[in-house]
Amino acid sequence: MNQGDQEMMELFVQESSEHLQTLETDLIALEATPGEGSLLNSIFRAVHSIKGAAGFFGFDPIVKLAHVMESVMSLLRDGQETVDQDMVTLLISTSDKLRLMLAEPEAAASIPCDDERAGLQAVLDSHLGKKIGPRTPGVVHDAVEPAQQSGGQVGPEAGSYPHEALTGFSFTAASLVEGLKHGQNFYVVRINLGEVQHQGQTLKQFFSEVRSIGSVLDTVLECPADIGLTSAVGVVPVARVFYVTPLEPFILSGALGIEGDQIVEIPSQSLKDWVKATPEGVCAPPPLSVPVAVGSREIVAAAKSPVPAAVESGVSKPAPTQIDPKPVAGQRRKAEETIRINVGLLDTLMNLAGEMVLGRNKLLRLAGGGGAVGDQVELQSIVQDISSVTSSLQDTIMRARLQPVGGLFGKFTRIVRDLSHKLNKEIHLEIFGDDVELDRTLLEGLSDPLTHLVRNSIDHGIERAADRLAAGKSSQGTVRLSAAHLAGRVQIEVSDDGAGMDPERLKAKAVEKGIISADQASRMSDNEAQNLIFAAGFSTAAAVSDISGRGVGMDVVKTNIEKLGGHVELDSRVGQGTRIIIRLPLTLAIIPALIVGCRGASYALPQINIEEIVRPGEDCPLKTIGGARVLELRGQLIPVVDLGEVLGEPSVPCEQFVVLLELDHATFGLVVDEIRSNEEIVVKPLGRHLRLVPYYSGATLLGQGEIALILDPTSIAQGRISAIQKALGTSKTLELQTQPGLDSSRVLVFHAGGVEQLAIHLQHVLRVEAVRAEDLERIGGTECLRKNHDATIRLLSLSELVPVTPPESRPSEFFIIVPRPPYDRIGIVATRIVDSADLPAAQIERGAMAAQGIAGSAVLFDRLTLVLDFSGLIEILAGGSAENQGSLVAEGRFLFTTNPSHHPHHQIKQLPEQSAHS
Amino acid sequence: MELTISSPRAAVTSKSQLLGFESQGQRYACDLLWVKEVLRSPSVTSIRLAPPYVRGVIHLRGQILTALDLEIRLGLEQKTPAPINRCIVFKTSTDLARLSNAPEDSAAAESDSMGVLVDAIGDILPPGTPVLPAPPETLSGLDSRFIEGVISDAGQLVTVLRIGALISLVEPRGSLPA
Repeated sequence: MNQGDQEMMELFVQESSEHLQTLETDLIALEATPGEGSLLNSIFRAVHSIKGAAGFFGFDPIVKLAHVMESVMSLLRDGQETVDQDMVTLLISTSDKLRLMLAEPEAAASIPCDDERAGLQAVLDSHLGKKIGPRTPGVVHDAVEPAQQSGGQVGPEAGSYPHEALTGFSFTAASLVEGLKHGQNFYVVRINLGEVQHQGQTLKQFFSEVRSIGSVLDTVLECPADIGLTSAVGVVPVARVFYVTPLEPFILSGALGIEGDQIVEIPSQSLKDWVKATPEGVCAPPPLSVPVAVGSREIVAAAKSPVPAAVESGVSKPAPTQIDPKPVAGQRRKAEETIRINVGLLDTLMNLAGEMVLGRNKLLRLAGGGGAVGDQVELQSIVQDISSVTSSLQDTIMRARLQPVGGLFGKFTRIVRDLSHKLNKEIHLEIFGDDVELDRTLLEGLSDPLTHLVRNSIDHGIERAADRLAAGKSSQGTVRLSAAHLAGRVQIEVSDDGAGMDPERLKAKAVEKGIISADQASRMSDNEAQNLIFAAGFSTAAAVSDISGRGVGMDVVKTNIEKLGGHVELDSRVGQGTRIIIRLPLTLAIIPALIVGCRGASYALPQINIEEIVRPGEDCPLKTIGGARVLELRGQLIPVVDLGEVLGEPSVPCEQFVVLLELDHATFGLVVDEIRSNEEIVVKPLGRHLRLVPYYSGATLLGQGEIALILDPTSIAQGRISAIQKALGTSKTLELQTQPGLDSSRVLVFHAGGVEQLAIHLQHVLRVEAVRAEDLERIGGTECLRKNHDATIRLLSLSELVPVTPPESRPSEFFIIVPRPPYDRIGIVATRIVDSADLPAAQIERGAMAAQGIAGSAVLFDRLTLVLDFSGLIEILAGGSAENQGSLVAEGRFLFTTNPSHHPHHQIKQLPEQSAHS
Repeated sequence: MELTISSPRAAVTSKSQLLGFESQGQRYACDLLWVKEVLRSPSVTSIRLAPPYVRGVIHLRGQILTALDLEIRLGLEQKTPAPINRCIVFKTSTDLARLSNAPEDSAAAESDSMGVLVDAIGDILPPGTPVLPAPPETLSGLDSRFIEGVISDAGQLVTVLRIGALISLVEPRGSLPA
């Protein structure tokens, strides 16, 4: 087998694998919506393509299996058989067998597939049985019976085709519609392939020419030997092409260099009628490939001669073009190791590489020049060139490596289906964000951990239908897979609405297994207890059955994710479900970070975790309470950790800053010596010896080539924060924290342009931003502010929502008050920010002023002030219904409940159905 | 390090070329196939909390290279921190995969760049140099896991290192049972 054939083989295997992938996805979707025409068509096409390609290479076992499958599919598509679960199972198992065969095409015969074939054949036979009853003539597929009886295959008789010249072709009504709509002409063109080659064109060139002026609906190859012709045609193959093109017959004949009598025009009226009669119609080739008049009398005569059984498979194979199907063993690469890349992108890369070579040549010339006066200037410009080329090169390559996560998620439909059938649970898989793109190395690395997590969710997370009903849930459990980009990281989430994990039982189990001591267990928070499942050695089969959760190999999942440079977090609520969040810092991605200094060295903190930066002072002193260091900030005590101490550096008294870092379960302050800059950093992995240090998630290069380590706030917080909270727990300061209303009583006082002074509770406010009027854009009556990095912020005038006087005119510069997520895509317009103030709930006078959106009034800064009721405002915005609140959450699939006494970030509620499916 | 070992204690000869180098007055050698390049006076950023044998990291064309301190890695007491002069950069798994005759212990390589800091680069020793078994650990003070053997070159002893072991994550010697 030569190189070209080898390449074609690879292409065949790869393409067929892709077809199989769609096949599988469609089959599973089909189970949910049986009878969905587009799915059936897509499945049919996929099987047909596999069959055709395999036939070309002469892989008979594949062709045979694909053929029966195709036949069954055509029955399903025409509604002559109904799709049920058994049918889908049979089809899926057939597609599995096809996959196995494709993995080793030349050894396909060794794959046992008798069960599948027998099963499919039984469907065909039973269909045959049904057909013996009365039938209605006229519809294409009612005519298939004779064909079936003779060969057990499906295919209409010649008479059922819209035109007799079309006999033998396989096409669907849908494929004709487009051409008919545009008034194009349909032809059957008979092409003598031998002549084409004789004229010095390769077949590939010829067919690409054919495709350039129209589209090929189907091609049938005829072997003259089969036809029995001995005269003029010789022993060259003949192709008949069903072709649609806007060209007139004589132009077509000139363009392709084909005699006019080889072209038969199909009257579009007859096609139209056919399409109308059979909107879902299909023409498939009959078992016996009957060549048809295309102008030459001899061939008409030949058509009547017997056709040998060689075409039994339904695919006509031109004998001369058949390739030796045996590839050189070991040379074929697996399909997974190749990547499809946009040609445009490749060209860009090539261009950039050329630019690099140019730059290098310039540098070489300069280096050999011997230091002339103008060199410095020239060097500058070369360096500039090279640096811009380098950045584009990096950017382009990065784009080439990105692939949508959908491919990875797609395979879970199958896993979920299989497992839920096996375990007899009703499970619905929801997939979100399948268009999020990820570096392919990450995708590959994610596959196993995700499979593990999804399996766990189904096996241990989701309860049996009866248990679910007893717990007041719907009998159908939901497993949700989602992906999203979050500030340069990719967050992948596997969540279920199952039983959740009981921290107490986990603790008990961990103590029993000797992973932690009883003393440790008593000090553990619920979240820490749940994280025990990640501990090595926790994952045994016994643990799984005893604990109402998961635990199989979670340590392996964690290790694998950490190998990719990410980390795993877990949030489980007993009875409500479990959420596992995988955060992957993109190795190749650029993330925004804050560069801080500690004892002379630079460190990078990912911006995503940073809440604010505080300079401790009189207002917010650093204190030591009960042996724990805390920062008192706005009445709250926040545990702090000194970075120097974490890194084992001696403490140096100097001016310090506290960076407040927010994690999923805690906020803490990190004391650093200096704040250096904000930079977009490229994450570089650290070597294996340095990965032993948990606090570093990677390294990055700063402007001057200096190396800064990237800190991992989660590891720094690990253990320390809960220790501080424990220490605080015994002291009286806990009262400070739990005293109701202290935090929630802080309000921001502002003016909205009218005469009133207004106040909004600070707990709802994310930030206040200064805005210039010229930066605003108007879209359909609403004003928007477009952020360069974020999405848009919709501006909100209070006077439109609550009874306050509208602003007379808006100054050119004003402020917007941005609420906390998930409402951070709206901005409340304020013309003046007065100050913040303490306003205990008792001081708010309700009654006189109350309206929806207004909690009451109070006197602040010697003025009567209207206090806004934030949740009321949101309700007005959402049109009064709580259901619609989801629409305000810009891209979110989750709705964060705003609990007035609590930080709103962590409580997550499922969105109503309509937005979940959007 | 590709060496033909006839019996555990007998002299063997090296299969490939060896690169000689010097550190703290001692001479060492390693399999040249492992060596990717040598950096001159690289700037090393030290890392807090890193294992003691890791001197720091070096920026090498967009990669973060882990620079090992040879003496501490070999278990020697270091008197004064040696000035940083040369760094021998070892091949990564990707580099080694391109070799048709990769060293035997090439499985130890991973995708991360590793290097060792030395004082000076010496000669290249031809293949077939006889390698004697290493002296017992108690005499040399060197961690025998990292030592292939010794060769005698111009009257001086040259310690041949096992690079695969040297760059791997192995337990510190103290934690091993005596």
